[in-house]
Amino acid sequence: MSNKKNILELKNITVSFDGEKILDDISLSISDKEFVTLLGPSGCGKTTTLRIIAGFLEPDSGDVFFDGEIINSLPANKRNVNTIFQRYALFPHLNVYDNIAFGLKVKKVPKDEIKKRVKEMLKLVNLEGFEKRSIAKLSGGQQQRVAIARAVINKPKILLLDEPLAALDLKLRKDMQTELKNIQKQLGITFIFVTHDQEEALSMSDKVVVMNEGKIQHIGTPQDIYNEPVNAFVADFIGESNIIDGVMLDDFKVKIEGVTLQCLDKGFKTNEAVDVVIRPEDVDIVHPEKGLITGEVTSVTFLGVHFEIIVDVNGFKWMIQTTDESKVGDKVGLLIEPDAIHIMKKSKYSGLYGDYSSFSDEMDEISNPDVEIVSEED
Amino acid sequence: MKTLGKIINALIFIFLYAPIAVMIVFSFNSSRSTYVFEKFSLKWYGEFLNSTITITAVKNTLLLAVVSALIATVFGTIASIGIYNLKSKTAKGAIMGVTNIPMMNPDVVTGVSLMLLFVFIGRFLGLASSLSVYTILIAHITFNLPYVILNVLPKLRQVGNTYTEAARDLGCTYSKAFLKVIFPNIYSGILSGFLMAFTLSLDDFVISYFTNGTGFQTLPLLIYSKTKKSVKPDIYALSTVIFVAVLLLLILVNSIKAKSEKQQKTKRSSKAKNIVLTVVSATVCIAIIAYSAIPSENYNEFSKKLKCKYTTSLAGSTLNVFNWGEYISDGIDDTLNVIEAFEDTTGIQVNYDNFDSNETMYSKLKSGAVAYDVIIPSDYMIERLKNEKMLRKLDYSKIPNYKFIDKKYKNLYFDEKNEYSVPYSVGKTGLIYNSKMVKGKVDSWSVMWDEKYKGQVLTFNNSRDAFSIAQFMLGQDVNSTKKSDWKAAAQLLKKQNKVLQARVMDEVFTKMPGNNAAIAPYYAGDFLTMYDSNENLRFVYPKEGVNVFVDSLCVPSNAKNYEAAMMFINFMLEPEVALANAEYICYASPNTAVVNNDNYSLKGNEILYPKKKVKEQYYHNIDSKTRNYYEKLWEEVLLS
Ligand SMILES: Nc1ncnc2c1ncn2[C@@H]1O[C@H](COP(=O)(O)OP(=O)(O)OP(=O)(O)O)[C@@H](O)[C@H]1O
Ligand SMILES: [Mg+2]
Repeated sequence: MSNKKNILELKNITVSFDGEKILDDISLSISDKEFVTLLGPSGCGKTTTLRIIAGFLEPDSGDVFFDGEIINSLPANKRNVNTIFQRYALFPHLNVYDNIAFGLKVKKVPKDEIKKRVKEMLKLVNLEGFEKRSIAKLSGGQQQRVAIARAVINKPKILLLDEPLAALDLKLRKDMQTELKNIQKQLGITFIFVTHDQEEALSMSDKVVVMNEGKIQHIGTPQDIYNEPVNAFVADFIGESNIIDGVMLDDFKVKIEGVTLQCLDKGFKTNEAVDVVIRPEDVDIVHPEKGLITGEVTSVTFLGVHFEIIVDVNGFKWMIQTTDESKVGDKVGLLIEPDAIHIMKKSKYSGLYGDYSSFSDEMDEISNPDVEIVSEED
Repeated sequence: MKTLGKIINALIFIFLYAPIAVMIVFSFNSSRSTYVFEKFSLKWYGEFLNSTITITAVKNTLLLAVVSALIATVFGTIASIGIYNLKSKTAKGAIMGVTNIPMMNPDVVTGVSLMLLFVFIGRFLGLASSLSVYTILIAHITFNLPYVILNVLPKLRQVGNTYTEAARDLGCTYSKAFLKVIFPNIYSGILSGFLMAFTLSLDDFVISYFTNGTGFQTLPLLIYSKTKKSVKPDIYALSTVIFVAVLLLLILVNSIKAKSEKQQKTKRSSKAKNIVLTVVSATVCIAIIAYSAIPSENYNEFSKKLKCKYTTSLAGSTLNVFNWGEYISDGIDDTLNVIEAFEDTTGIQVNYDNFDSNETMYSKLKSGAVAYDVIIPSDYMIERLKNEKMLRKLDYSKIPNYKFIDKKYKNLYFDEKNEYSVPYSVGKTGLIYNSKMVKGKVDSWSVMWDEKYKGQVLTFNNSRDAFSIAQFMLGQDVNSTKKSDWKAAAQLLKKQNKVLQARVMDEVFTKMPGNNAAIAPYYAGDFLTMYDSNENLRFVYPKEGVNVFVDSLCVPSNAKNYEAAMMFINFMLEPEVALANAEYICYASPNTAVVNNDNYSLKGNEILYPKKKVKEQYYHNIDSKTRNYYEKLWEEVLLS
């Protein structure tokens, strides 16, 4: 899909507030009809990026291109972009109909046409018969739909959605995810979607942009960023990961925990220190003699589909998801297939993520060092 | 606990509303009494509706309140938006601090500083009088602004930026976004800011007092100036009307709010309706009161009775008069409305303002902020003004009616050569006592020290008058500059403390008629008012001597309409006019045409015009050293 024409392009965007860099050299291309997700922890600059695109904020440096033209200082009201705000920002003094009709009224569209299009929108978002309802009397999900209708009625080229589902409960969120996806397909427009929920990002997007501390960490398809994260931050932020220090002995050969393993990665220098990512579901627990690496089970949690088992290997704790039950105290062997291993270059995030020393039910005991020590020495 | 809460609630309610209830009840009283309800009557309502002075003051007050509140609301809202959108947090804090200071400031500070600024600018521009209706308007806008901001800014914060952004996202420009989505959501803040500004402006006295020019008297200023004489129940009637009007306004506003909330703000037009309704109701209020037809009298009959001819050569010019409150016949109870009669006769427009003491009048003149054409100070103040070259000589050839002034009141000490003043009204102090409570013959101030009447004696609550009684007792000159004299008088006053019930001024009008005290010194004319409601009261001029005062018409040196001033003074001496004033004020008249008039209801009154000679002394202007000394002694007396 990267071959399609770019509808929006950000080039080296930098933004500072009060001397603090909030966006640091952001570059991003978005194709027509693409579903792009900005993913990252709270405060990483997702909303700020959207505000640049919407026209509420001018970048300190860098350019914004829309259909190939620079629009850095084009005011928001002149951009062919609409936004669904983080808290919807529906106008409380207007009813559902007037909220949805707002954009068309501003553009002085004839009354009859407004009526027709609002009707269509209400049908699209399943709110027929709610025209006269006041905003205060709508549920969260209904407000969400009104916000969608209010934005898309203007037929924007790009719809910006700032954590539109964050305020909804889990069940409703799942339903709305599919609904949003359908709406996007029906309308055939570009969605730029912001979330800090990685699952949501993976399930909905054509392209995911992982951000942290004002920088883009990784741009790729959901599969790319899950299977081949570029650094420890991305690996940890997307799903669960064991990230272990390793040394690349040669192409396809990596050494961790004193054991040499086969892998599918190449192109590193000989003996280069690397981060090795192994997803919890890719590790098999076997008899100690059969395993490449051995360790001791320190915690077992039943999660329905599988068990989540923490295994202590020379003081580094691995998380393993498996359907085979183990008991705390068991000595176990770990079996890892070559295609389960992903090698990353060292980055500033190395060593910060991917160790489960302070995880799950052991959390409760962290405040009590004695217990911690006992379980260590066991 | 619950019942306690209920009781406390009830008590709070009573404390809040009992005074208003009492006031409303007594506004329907047929007599002036504030403790006996005689008969139901609408007389006081008629009186205030008939008083041009009161009605004008009401009009002025409402006009000022509406205009200043409207302007402050517009500017305050714009300022709030500016403050809200400031990028820098420090600038925001600083500006908020600066706008809040005027709210914390005592009104006096705000008032005085504004006055100084206006006077400074006025001098700079070379204006004869720097204070005017515009300065009081600017002052009201100034102190209203922070309250509007205080109401609007939190609303803006509550609404936040997202609505503006959402509106712009949907195609609005900044200003359109404000009108379409911000205004409807901060509207209630703007409205409450407006109402707050309106009420603050309505009852402001202090700031108005300092920044007001000539001829624009507001209601608070009028009421405060009425302290020379006691407050009359027409003020209760007026207050009742205001209370009911405000109550109705509140109910209206609340019902609109409740209605629009019930409709759940479904229509934008309901907001617009709100605005229209409020503005309309406010305007209607003003219109009703302002144009409640004041029956304009016909002065044809009256003008035939005038002794002099008055030309209309000065018609259209204005005359600024500064007088004591309630010190001129104002048309109440079918009396003559002197100001209107003068305007009708001469075509001159009179701006009439009131003061409540010689000293406040003095400081107002001295500030140079206002220019009056006629003032009515008392004797010692005339001496002082004359010494300070603040008076202009009168042209007696233009005041032929001066011939009516009794010889007794010519060549007085403060104007020995009759150059600066024309006597207007004369009063004396004396002793009032209740014949049911005080036994035996009373002819001396000494009864005020009599332990028999412990707890039943009142005295003046001002230093000069209180000292004078002791000075008469000691046979001193009330204008002595000898420290030892004042010291001896203070000693004597200290001895009086144990028999005193209270030091009072106006309260004497309720305490003496109400049998709440047995003995009190006060002014002879006022005794007549008290006697009307309690026939057991008696009055004597004590043998040791009493204070006599003469209030006279004078012209300040910066007067702008001297010719009209001469005309006005002459008019005030017209027998018909002077009679109306003497009847109204109830003090002795220096005008022989009044004293000898058979129609004068107080003709030959033993108290105002005693046959026996009364031993009396005038107050003179006392040098500041002596004044400071006796004021210090006075504090000691109060504390001992
Ligand atoms: N107007 C502003 N002035 C100063 N700092 C700001 C402003 N707007 C945002 N920031 C800062 O910029 C950083 C990024 O903010 P942004 O709203 O883009 O984060 P986000 O990724 O959307 O986070 P969240 O998931 O919590 O919504 C934050 O640290 C925030 O405090
Ligand atoms: Mg955000």
